[in-house]
Amino acid sequence: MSQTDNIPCSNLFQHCPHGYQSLDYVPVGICIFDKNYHVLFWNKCLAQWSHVDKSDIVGKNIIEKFHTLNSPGFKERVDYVFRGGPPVLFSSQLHRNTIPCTLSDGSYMIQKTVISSIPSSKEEEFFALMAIENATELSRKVSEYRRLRNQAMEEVKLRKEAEEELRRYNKILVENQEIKMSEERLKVLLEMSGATAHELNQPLMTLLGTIELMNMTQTIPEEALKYINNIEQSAKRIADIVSKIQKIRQYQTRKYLNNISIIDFNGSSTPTQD
Amino acid sequence: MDKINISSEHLESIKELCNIGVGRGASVLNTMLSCHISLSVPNVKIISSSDFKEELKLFAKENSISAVSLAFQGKISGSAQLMFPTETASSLIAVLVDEGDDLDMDALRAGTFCEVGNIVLNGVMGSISNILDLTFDYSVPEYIETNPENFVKKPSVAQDDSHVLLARTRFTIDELDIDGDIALFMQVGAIQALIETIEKKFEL
Repeated sequence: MSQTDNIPCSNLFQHCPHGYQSLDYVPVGICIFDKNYHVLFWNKCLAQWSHVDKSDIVGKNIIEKFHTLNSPGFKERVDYVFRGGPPVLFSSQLHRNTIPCTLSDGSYMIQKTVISSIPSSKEEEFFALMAIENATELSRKVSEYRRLRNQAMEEVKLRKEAEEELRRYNKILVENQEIKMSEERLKVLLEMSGATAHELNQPLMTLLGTIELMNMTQTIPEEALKYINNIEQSAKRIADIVSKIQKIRQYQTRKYLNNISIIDFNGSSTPTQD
Repeated sequence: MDKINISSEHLESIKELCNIGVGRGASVLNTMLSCHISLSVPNVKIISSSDFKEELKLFAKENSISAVSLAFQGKISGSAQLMFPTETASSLIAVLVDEGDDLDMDALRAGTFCEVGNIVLNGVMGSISNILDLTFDYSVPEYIETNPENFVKKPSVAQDDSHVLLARTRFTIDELDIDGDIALFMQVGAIQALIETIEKKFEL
């Protein structure tokens, strides 16, 4: 329909039930139009928001005036309202705005719109009542909430990654510490065993040499020879232990009394498989 | 509780009415949105509200339910609802508004879901009222999100003598296949009136 088809508003208003003027006092934008999309009523709130005065819009075709209403599916959905169909809802996320309204900061108002069927004074005739809510603040708050939530989620993700990394490095550190301690223990053990073996070998050689000399002596009574033999056996045992101490290459312990661990000479002097 | 006498012809007629409505809804959605949505032919059945409660629990699993409710009054009164498990509703909206895999159902998304539900339900109610020459007074559609237990406690569902006309349809959007339920809650008298109107109209 073209602008030339506009109907004088005086003719339109004769079909309007009285009482629309009270809609001037509600804090939502209200517009009433007929099945030809001619505006019958434009409330003060909508006039203030859109900067379009009542006198400039009433009687005119709303789709021609506001091209945002010429979106796909708009008429298809709204036409049914003129036959008494269910209300039609236009969400702020899919449509942003139905009637462009500029805010004080220069941005466009985000709107939520419901178009409902209202009976005219004629039987079987319905008008469309378009109620526009300002959803700008809600949209901004939700967007801000989403931004903060995404930021918080990103921080949580980063923190989890950092904690995981920290755990990994801590494990490596503990492992390295154990290796280091083990190396230190072995070093001390090798030094100790080397020194021990060296220091014990000197008197042990003297002891074994003396026993051998005593054995060669013909005048030693039979009873004393038995004791000398025991001393020789013990000295050889000491020599065997000293030999094992000299061969220590690893740190290995075994349980001893009172839950104490002591160096296992046998295990420590046995070469490892690797 | 009153019993409902419903034949397979009646059910077929109701299915046809729902199918026309769902088709109309899909057509509007496709005109409005850039992605192609197809809605399958609904599977229609009439069940008691107590059976519906059980169905709803199975449908939602452990999820809450997101629904758009459109109440109507007239020769036949009740409410029409489009229901999804909330997670599914949120994925549907995320696909429609191209918002990735963010599944939080906030106020904006609830509003968008309300519009999608409004389009589908208007299609169904429009075809029922058009074809059967019925007029209704409608309320503004509202968004409901609750668990199945509380959903069935709603007055429109909880009445002992209310029955549910349940039409299960499938939304297919590109590679996303999701089930949605369209439910018409009516009392026995209203369903009987609907059947009588169908009988008159289609001379069954």
